[in-house]
Amino acid sequence: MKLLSLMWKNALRNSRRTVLTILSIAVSIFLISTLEAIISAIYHPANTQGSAQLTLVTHRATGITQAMPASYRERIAAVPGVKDVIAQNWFGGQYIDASNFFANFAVDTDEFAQVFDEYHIAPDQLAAWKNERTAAIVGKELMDKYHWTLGQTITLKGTIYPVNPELTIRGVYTDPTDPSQELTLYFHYDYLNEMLDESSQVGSFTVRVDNAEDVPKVAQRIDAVFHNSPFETKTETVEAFRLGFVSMLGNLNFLLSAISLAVVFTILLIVGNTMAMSIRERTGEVAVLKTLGFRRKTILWLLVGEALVVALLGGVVGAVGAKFVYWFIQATFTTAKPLGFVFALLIAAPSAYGAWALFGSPSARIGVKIVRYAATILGAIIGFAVGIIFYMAVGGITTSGFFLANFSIPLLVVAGCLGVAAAVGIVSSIFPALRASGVKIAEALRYVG
Amino acid sequence: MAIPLKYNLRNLIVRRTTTLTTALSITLTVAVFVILMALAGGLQSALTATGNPLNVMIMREGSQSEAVSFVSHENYQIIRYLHGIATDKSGNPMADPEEIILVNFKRIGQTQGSNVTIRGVGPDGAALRPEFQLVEGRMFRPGMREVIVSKQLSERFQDCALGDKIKFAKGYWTVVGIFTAGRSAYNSEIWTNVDDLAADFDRPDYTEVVARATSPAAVKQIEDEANNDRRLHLKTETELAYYQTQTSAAAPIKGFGIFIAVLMAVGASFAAMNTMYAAVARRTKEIGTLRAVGFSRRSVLFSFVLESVVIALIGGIIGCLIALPVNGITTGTTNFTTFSEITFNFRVTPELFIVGIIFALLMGLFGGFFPAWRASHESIVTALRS
Repeated sequence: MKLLSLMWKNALRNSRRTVLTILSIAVSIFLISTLEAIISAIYHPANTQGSAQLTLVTHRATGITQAMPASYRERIAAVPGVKDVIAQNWFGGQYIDASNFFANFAVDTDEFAQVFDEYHIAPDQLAAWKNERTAAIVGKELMDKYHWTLGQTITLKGTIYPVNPELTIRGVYTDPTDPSQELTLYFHYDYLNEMLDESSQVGSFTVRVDNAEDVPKVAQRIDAVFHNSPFETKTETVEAFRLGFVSMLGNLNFLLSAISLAVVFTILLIVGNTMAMSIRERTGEVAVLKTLGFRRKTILWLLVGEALVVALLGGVVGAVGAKFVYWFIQATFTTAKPLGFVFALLIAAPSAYGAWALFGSPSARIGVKIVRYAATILGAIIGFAVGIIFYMAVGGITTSGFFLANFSIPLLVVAGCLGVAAAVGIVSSIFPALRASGVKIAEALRYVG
Repeated sequence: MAIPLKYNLRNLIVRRTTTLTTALSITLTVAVFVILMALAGGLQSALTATGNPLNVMIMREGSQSEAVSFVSHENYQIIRYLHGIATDKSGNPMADPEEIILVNFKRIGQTQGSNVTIRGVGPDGAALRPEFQLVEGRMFRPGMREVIVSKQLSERFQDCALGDKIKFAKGYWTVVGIFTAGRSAYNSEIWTNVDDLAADFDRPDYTEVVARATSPAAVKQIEDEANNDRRLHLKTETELAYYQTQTSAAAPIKGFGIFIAVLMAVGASFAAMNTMYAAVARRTKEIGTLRAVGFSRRSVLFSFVLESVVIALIGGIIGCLIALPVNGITTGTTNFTTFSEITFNFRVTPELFIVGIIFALLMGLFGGFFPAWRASHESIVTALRS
């Protein structure tokens, strides 16, 4: 216990150095947890369980940009093990202009509710959508994002197809298993087909399978039906289909992991440097401790423990901070955007205080004081601006319905980051601590730091 | 009067371990920054390096990329005889119909694929793109199910080497040639004959028409005539403008790179700050002495900032050198405007080098300023007594 308080006092002795070290670890850990959370969101999403496992996507083997005849619907439905099948066409329409991106599909409405049975929608709204050819249903989050109301008519500008459907919103659905699915609009395939002069082409079919064990077999059976036809198909699980998109982006996993590694190495250098400096400055004290009878092992623990505490503090601030920051942005961005100002103030306050503290000076000259006040205000302004930019950027990305919708830091990543911080604390201090604790008393007392 | 630089350099050498670790944390920050910017720069340059200002692309009204356009054969006959179109070697109008089809191919060593652009070109396809150069094999012959593949694609995708057979549409196609196209986006394509491709994919229409204007004024003339012809319902865009609008594809990488660089820079400059505060603390007596012999506060401030900047400069230079080997490495991503693979090279340019060094200097400046400020305000008497 006494050792612990000595450790703590040591860490606080040069409080500015400790705070700076903790902050640089915190910022780096914040970055690492962001990167790792991106990897995890892209490659290991949470919603691979449950009903998504029973869903298959059938598209052309040569790629999703090519279409198949709509008559494939019946042939797929006849495959043993297939429960329901609907045509699902990526329409790619723009709402007002290109900056308002969201997913919109033309789908078969009859069996829609059976295929997407994880969606919750009021029965009367579902019926209203089915009965009106120009009706659409919209996810709750998308509805909130554009402040649409039921009965409102919106126009989508076709970018792939040369038509601009006018759609009336007749229903709102929610997806309790994965709120990121709520950023989509669905309208009638029949309506699109009619506008395209009954060309009866379909981009992909979404297939519901009876039970999970059958999924791979059913996929093979569907593809076998169309084997050696002019339009061969590829049927895969929703997850595999999504990973196909991810792989088109390139090797993100490698890029993000490599950056994370570089950041880990940077904090290792930063903490290592700080600990080496402060241990070297204390060589004399170590000798005194030894003279008093402290064992080598105890002194080693004292020094490594100090680094561990500092690194862990940085880790906690960084990782828990990241978890909080992304949670806060997600929670407020669509519904209570003015709270973004609160977020910016939370960044501005420490930034202003930092400027105030760093411009501290023993001098009492008026010029020095003015500089200090000016710097504090500037610090606040910069912090505020950074906060707003960050809030808007992250909020915009995570509500656009791409890969990072509903972005959050998984607890596993938080734990991993704390592990990294602890490891950095130990590795970076072990060598200077070993050297200091092994030094001869007489030499150490004579050492001029 | 300024304190000699030698004073700082010697101090840095005496504390070489600290100097080096601090410099290295700046090194890593600069290296990551330069590499990410080289990635964004490479992608951007592949798009800006594409497109001839005299080539006019004629596409369906409202299509945002080539891939979703179509132009009927009748309309092609109208476009061919618009005024202002250059004539080719054989005396025909230099206006070729083209067919664009995206096919999913597998990258080498991967099970997941990416959409590759297959471009069916007419007789003037190569002449319209002066950067096109056949480097291996020969040109495809119409009607023979032959293709030529860009060098970058053939190195990155399965079954795309010279002599290989690749499968798409109704059967196998033979790779008979390998081409390069400067730094342009055509480096990410497979070319074949336009009619072969259209027939194999049962396309009743062409995708677009590419026409070469005789002069910049003729570009305007072609565009006006095409837009005013009520039979056409087409849009015109110069090839240069078409690719220029796609350069926004590099923006997310840039934004991401800046986000990472800024966070890393905060960490690294705090480290520099720690180092410099320690340096100031150890040398309080020296500072007092310097001030006592007549050096001004400003000289002291300047001297310590300079010391920090020198550390950062060392870090920055090493960082740029570490990033240098990625220059020229080929990589690829999907261009979401066209929804197809674009391959490009990392580009570490001299400008990027300078930006990297400036970035390092800023870290040094930020990290060194506060400790130097502290040092310059030390009162002479207390400093000498410490």
